[in-house]
Amino acid sequence: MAKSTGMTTGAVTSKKKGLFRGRRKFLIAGIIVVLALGYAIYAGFQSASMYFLTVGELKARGETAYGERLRVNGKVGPDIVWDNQSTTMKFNLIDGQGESLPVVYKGVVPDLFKPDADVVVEGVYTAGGVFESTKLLTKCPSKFTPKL
Amino acid sequence: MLTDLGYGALLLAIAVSLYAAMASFFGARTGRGELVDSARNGVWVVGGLVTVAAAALIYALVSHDFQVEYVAANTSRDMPLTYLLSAFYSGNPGSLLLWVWLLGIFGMVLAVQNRNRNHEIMPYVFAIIMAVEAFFLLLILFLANPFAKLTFVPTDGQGMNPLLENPGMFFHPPTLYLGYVGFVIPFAFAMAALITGRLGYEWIRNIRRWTLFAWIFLGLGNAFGAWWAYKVLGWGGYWGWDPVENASFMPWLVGTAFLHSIMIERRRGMLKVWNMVLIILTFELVIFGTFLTRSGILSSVHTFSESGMGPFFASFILSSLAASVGLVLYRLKALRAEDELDSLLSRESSFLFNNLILVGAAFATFWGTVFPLISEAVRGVKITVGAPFFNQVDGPIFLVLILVMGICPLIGWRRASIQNLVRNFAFSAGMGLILGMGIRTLIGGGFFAILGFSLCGFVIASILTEWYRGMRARHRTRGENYLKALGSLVWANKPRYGGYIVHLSVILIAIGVIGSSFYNTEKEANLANGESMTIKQYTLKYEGLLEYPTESKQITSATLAVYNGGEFLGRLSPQKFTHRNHPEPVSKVAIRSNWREDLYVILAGWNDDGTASFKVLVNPLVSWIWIGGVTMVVGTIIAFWPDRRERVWPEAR
Repeated sequence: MAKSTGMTTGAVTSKKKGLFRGRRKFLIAGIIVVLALGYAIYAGFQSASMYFLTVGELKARGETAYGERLRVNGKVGPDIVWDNQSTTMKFNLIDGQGESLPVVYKGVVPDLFKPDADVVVEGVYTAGGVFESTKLLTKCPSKFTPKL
Repeated sequence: MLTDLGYGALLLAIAVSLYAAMASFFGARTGRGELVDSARNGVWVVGGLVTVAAAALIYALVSHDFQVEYVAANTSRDMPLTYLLSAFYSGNPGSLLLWVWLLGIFGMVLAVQNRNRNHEIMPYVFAIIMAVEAFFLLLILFLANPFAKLTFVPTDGQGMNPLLENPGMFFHPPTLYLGYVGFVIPFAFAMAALITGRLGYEWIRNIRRWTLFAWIFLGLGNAFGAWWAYKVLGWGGYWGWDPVENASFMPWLVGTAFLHSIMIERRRGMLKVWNMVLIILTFELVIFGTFLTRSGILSSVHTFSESGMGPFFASFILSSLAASVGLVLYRLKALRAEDELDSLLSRESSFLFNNLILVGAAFATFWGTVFPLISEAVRGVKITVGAPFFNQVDGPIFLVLILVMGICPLIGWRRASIQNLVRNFAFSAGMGLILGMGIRTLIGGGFFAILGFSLCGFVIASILTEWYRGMRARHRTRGENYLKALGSLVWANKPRYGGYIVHLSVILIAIGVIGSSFYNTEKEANLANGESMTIKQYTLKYEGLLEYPTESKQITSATLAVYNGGEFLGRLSPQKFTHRNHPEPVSKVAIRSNWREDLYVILAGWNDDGTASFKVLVNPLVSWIWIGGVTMVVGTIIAFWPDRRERVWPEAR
């Protein structure tokens, strides 16, 4: 985009008298680039941002959260049911306040997934109070976590 | 014993680095040569001390000194030597020690390089390096002491996180840190130039190699990280826009912009303020990136206060940012451009656009990465963006960047004529279009994929035409045969042609990324013994499960026979194993790779009834990414290679 504006004006200005015009030319091209960037970021946010909640916060939102794509953070509860045929897994997501959220997850289970692991699920909160997830993130192992 | 020595060395190193920083600065300010000299000796002492500390930690790791908490937490007796060594940087304290060790070594290298030159600016360069060194030493001693001892001596250690026992993780941290720490050097020179007011070519000449060095290692660090994620994490991809990935990608983007725009300053004396801004940004992003990987502030809602490092890093980033921006403002007059850009249609302006785009990509990535924190602070809700955001925003930005990369060699410095551009442009654009249309007809693909491939074709054609022209000219004027002409052409303009090789490498990587993002296929299946599944042209027949223990692991391995149509290709064995000390299982994906595509098989699970479930992906062109990484190193080495003409530089070019 910026290039095409350059082609029409580029050859006209001569160096000396175009000192101001030359700057303005670059300014305009720069502004176009910056505006395009800004718009791309804005549009990206409109379509790809989602709430990142704890189990308790999700519960507090209740019905208003139904149907919206969300991320929820919590610990994996002790009971995990895995169905090999449909490759779905059912577990409860628990937060520090003891709130619990039933999750149905479909997909490959990450290696670090286990009871009590800190996970983030991405998906949709359905009217039945069940969270249907298609994406499960465990804490990245390349982060340095203290052990012992 | 030796660990006490290591700890003592670090304590001393703090004192000496603080002294050296101050003595160097005030010695130079007040013109007291003996202070400056003693500070330079201090650089050697600090380098020696952190080397002693590093050696002590290596010794503790290799000799299984499990009383040292770090050794007990990261290694065990059954680990091979390579991973005992990589345990040096697989934990927080050790990786910080690697930081200070590298910076200490770089300080000594600078002392050797500049023993007979740059007397005016070196004291300030050393002052800044020593100040940064002191900050990281303080962090280590107060918050992450690698030599901390347990009250008892365990008989064996916990071993390394099994996910990190991989060649990718052997190379990823050191290469990344060479890049991170390497960028401290150009930053230090920039600050020294600002302090002394010596803002001519001097500082830029001094940092060209350091910048190239830091840039290629930072890029390599990212590449090794992606390679590791692809081979180990088992989700089928190599880049997930995770905050820790973004943390090392952002300084690379801004560093790339800096690498380009210092060429404009060198040639034309322009963009001086902009260059200062870029190197300051790169430095701060490096520090921010070092912080992000050890904070966990972005991974979960509740860990913000968990890390004691937050306040340390925040105050270091804010104070160094304030000081460096203050210096730029103080020297604003002296940083005025010596020249004006002539035309929008010039190579200079293509560099300028490349800069804007790279910084824009870094900005978008930064915004997406820290937005959860900002939204929480401002609105009290955490709003996050996932990979789709980054793909959607950064994807088109990179396509424009590729376009600029193709236009750049077509237009001359200062001012290009439109006729010239159109003639040059038409051929390359035509080639790109033919490639895109060819792929569309033969293979198909969506708008962005075809656009991406067309742009890649355009860049390759435009760069190769430029090479061909130079080669032909040399063939005609000097009578060299074409091959010799090509060789001597590259050899006579190493920085330039090295740069072109790097650009071609970027295109190889782009082709790999486009291919694997737009043309990948994936399938999940639950197979009984003897059953097969088909994905694209491949048929995979499940031949059963093997379970066996090794020295440190319990392995479950599935065997799959792979057929291409009727032709038998070989067997793949995706595995899951549990490490003795780590209850969680680790997947080992099986990959069958060629230049066209990767067949990527994950063993997802198995049942008592003998069935096993698999996730299978066909990822086209992934190997082009790794090949592009290799050629990028080659191009950088060519650009880095010493040149006879550098002595009279910059007038010579």
